Parts: sequence; structure tokens; C-alpha cells
Amino acid sequence: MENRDNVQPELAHDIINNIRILALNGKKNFRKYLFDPLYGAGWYNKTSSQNTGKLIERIKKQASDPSFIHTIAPQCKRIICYAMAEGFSALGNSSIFFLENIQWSRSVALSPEALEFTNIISPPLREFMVMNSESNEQLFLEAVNTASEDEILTAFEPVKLDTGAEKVKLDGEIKRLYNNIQIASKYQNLPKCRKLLSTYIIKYGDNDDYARSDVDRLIDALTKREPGFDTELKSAMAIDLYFRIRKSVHEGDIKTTIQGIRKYGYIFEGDPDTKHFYDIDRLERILYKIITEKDLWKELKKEQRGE
Amino acid sequence: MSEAILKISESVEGGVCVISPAGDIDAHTAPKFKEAIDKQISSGAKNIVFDFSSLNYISSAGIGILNAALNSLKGKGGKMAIAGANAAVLDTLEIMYFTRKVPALKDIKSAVAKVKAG
Repeated sequence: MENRDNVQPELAHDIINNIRILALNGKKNFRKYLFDPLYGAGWYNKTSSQNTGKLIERIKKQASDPSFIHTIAPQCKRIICYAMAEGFSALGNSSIFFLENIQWSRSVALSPEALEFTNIISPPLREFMVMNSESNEQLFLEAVNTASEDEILTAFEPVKLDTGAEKVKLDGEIKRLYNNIQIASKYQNLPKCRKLLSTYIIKYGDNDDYARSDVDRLIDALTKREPGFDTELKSAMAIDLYFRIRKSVHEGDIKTTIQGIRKYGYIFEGDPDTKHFYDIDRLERILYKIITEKDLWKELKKEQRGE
Repeated sequence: MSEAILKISESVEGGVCVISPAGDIDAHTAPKFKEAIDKQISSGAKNIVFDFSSLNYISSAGIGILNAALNSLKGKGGKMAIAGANAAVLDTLEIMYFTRKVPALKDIKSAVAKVKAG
């Protein structure tokens, strides 16, 4: 068992994405790496007659009332126990719901239930991710190898931001981001601020007109309020982007995979401390090797120049 | 796959700092590349030419570092250019949109002239 006294939001976020990737990999893996460890720890309970979805909705309604905050973790544990009897989807949804609450509330993150839950599922999920990482590269290799030239060329289509309309759209987005962050910040909702920034940066971080200095100012201001905000944001973005890349690899979606790699490069600027830094590098080597083997560079560049 | 190797040398041509990496810039060697650039920028280099004539491979990690350096130089009113990149490296730079931001020239002399031209 790992020795911790609370569950860091970053760990909860990581586990959420691991569960999502696990869900993409079939029932057998879901049973082995999530259901069985919880079953072995005695979490299975088939006594509930209520649908876990409804129980989750009930907690959501209670969550805004501070007097209920200490009941969230035990309730989440109970729901997960019931969900194990209900089915794999219910188990996945209720686990993610608990982990999201761990991310959002310090009180939930400090609960014995949160510690117990993450201690049970972290080791098997890590084991799964190591195993999946190797097959992931193989999948990518197969996806790129079997993709048509058109599919690969489309994947490299530039983001056209030179036109007035696109620029206006991007300017509008940063204003909207400011407004939304101001609102979230007013209510001390830093997880929401982090989510808003993460979504914005991942969407626009590789664009020429990306409002980098504005975004940096926002991050600095929020980090002054909560030390560590910047590193947590970075970590959350890397995990999200990596999840997106892995999902697209799994689905054979070359376009999203390549765009994801490019975004990752521009956003994290070669920082080796970024999560999944070396995994991305391996995928990239494979990609360039195949483009060379398929002799697609010339066509790709033509596409780039809009010829 | 064997570990990538990167050697970096620095010089001054026509008053402009020239950084010459030889080998591969990937996730493993990127920190070394960044260190060399940061050293030059903190020593006051305002314009930098990257001599890629002995570079075999560059990944998005390396391009991310170049982009960070570009932003830093722009903040000081400086410029950047690339010189002598082979076809493979140039292909990657183009595909990653980096040649839209920074000119890639045939040799160091032209690149130095380009950044000095203002």
C-alpha cells in the first residue's frame, strides 16, 4: 500500500484517464484491472435495489450544500460497491464520479475512502498502462501503415488562421476564457479555472495567433493565489493530451494522433519533466519512419503550402 | 532503438551567434539542446542562427524548444534563422509549421545576413 495522507488531484486525474483507456480495451481487461482488485478488497455489494446513476444524481444535488461535504466519500464508496453488481459501465462511471469529486474537493481527497480506493486501483492500473503502452505503439504502426495517402495528407492539413474571420474567432475565445475564469475565480473554483485553461490551451496552443502572453498572465495570477496551480495545470494538460492521442491511436484515427503530437510539442516545448514525454517521442519516430517509407513528404509539404 | 547522440558547438559569424547541433534532437537529447540555447540567450545573444547541416533528426520536442527560444528572442526584439538543414530535417520543420515562423536558408552566410537584415 502506498503511504499517502491524501489523494492529489493530479493522481485522480491520471486514474480517470487510465480508466477511460481501460474501458476502450474490452471487458476482459476491465475485469482484470479494475473489477477484480476492488472485488478482492471486499468492495462488491449487491444489496442495493437502486440504480447507481440515480444515486450519483442525488449526490450531485447534495454537493453544493457544505453540510453534506463529509458524506460524499462514504456515499461514493457505497455507490461503487453497488455498481460492481450492476455492471462494468456503472462501475466505470461511479469510479470516475468519485475521482472527479476527489479532484474538486480537498475534503473528499483527504477521506479514508479516497485513500483506500486509489490504493486499491492504482497498482493494477499502472500495470495495465505499461502493458498497453507497448501494444499502443504497435497499434499506431498498424494504423499508419494501413492508412491511405489521403488520410495521412488530411492529418497534416494546416490550421488556417490567416483569415480575418479565424482571427476574430480566436480573439473572441480568449475574451470568453477571461470572463469564464473571472466567474470561476470569484467562486474560488480553481479546478474549473484549470479545466477552462487546459481546454483553451490544448485547442489553440499550436496556432500562430495563440494568445500566449494573456494565458501566461492568467496562469501566473492563479498560481499566486494557489501555489502549484501552474504545475497541476501542466500535468492535467499532458494527461489529457496523451489520453486523446492514445484514444485516437486505439481508434486508428491518424489525423487526431498527429495533431495531438504537434500540439504536445508546441505546448510543452521539449520539457522532459512533462508527463508521457518519452511515449510521445516513440510514437513520433514511428510516424516519420513510415512517412519516409511511404515517400509522402513531398505530398505533405504540397498540402501544407496549399498547392 | 539505440540512444540518440547529440553534439553541440557554438560560434560567432558576422557578429551573430551560431549554434550547430550534430546528431539527433529527440526526447533524450532535447534538454542538452535547450541548455545550449538558454546559455546563449542568457549571455545576451539577441539573434541566433541554427546551423543544422550536421543534424540528422529533429522531433517535436526539439521544435518545441526552438519555438520557446523564438518567443524569448522575439521578446528582446531578436530574430532566428535556420541554415543548411538536410531534406529530412527540413521536411519535419515544414510539417510542424516551424518554417512558417522562421526562415530556413541554404547556408550560414545567408542565414546570418537574413537575421541581420532586420
